[in-house]
Amino acid sequence: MPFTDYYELLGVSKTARTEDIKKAYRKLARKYHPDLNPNDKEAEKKFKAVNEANEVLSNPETRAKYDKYGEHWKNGEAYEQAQNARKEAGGRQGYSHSTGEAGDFSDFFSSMFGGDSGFDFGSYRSGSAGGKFKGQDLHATLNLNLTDVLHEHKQTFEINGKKIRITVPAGAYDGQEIKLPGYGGEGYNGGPKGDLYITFSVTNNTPYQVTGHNLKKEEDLDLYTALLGGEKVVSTLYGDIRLTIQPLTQNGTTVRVKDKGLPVYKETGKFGNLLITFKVKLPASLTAEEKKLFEQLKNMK
Amino acid sequence: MERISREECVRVYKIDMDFFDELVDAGLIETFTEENTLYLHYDKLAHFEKLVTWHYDLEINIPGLEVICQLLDRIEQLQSLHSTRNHV
Repeated sequence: MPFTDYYELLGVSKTARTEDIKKAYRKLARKYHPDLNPNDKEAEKKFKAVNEANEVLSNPETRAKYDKYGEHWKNGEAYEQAQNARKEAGGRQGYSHSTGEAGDFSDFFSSMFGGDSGFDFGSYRSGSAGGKFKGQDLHATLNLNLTDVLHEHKQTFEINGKKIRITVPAGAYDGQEIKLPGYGGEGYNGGPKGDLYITFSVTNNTPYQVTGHNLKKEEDLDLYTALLGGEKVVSTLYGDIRLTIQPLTQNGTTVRVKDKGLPVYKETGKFGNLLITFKVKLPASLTAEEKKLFEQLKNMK
Repeated sequence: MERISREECVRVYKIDMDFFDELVDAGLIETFTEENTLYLHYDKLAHFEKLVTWHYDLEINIPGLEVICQLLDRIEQLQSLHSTRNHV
């Protein structure tokens, strides 16, 4: 339980007026308020520390106690007195932030002033005591593979030690945010809980290029099938399909395979398309006989 | 209906009516009118509470609130972009 120098924390002198303490506190509160520093644990810690300092120093009674015993809090008698006196400590002028962990003072504070028994940290701004306020909103990122969003599925994950089971809808897309009302931080004074926002981070683990709901891929086509037509087996995310190749299919021709793209979010049964672009491959080597036949073809022209 | 009227807001949060109106004028809160009464939807309440805290506790005026909202949006965008990049 290290001693905390509240004056140093607020950057004021030991003889500072209450007014100056409040001013210094307000400045630091603006800097470290968790609302203004989203997802910054360091700022939250500092905010709590300056709040604690303000709780003590802005109240003349507690400030006097702190000045008397603070530095020598290990001293038995003074410590005991502080313990006995803590019940008298009261009133507050601090600010709030409902993080769900409001009230976790330093050990030092707890030993001097009895933790949150004497103070009301976490309550709303002075003057509106008794109000109900919503808990903090939480943000989380859920990593998914592209193949995970082809079908609706349930996924369990842990946030702040709590297991949460959510339904990942088919067609969930990268960067999409969903809101789970009431899964955020605890409310204050019986207020509602905050909300949990989950952002999907979707990694493309397929050989297809994604554009909206459509998928794109290049497929090699041998010279003979391109010239004469035929069939080609093409793999899709939903299994292999057999495509009919038209005779004289040109290099770079794109065919559209309906409904083999990605599912459309919130529109069950609706899918994007798969676009296949054919790259005609020339033979890399010819046998003597093949060469002869090609020459015959050439001479026919 | 999950909504709270302007008058109720002013009463519950112990704020000035002018402050509420200024937030509306600045486009910082979204309200809707029904039978001549201005309402705030519960969805917007958390954001509204933050603005109240910032104004009354941190002594930030309306232009300051506008700047904060814009910058926070930016931070959140950048943070989510950052976390997305880290995961790919």
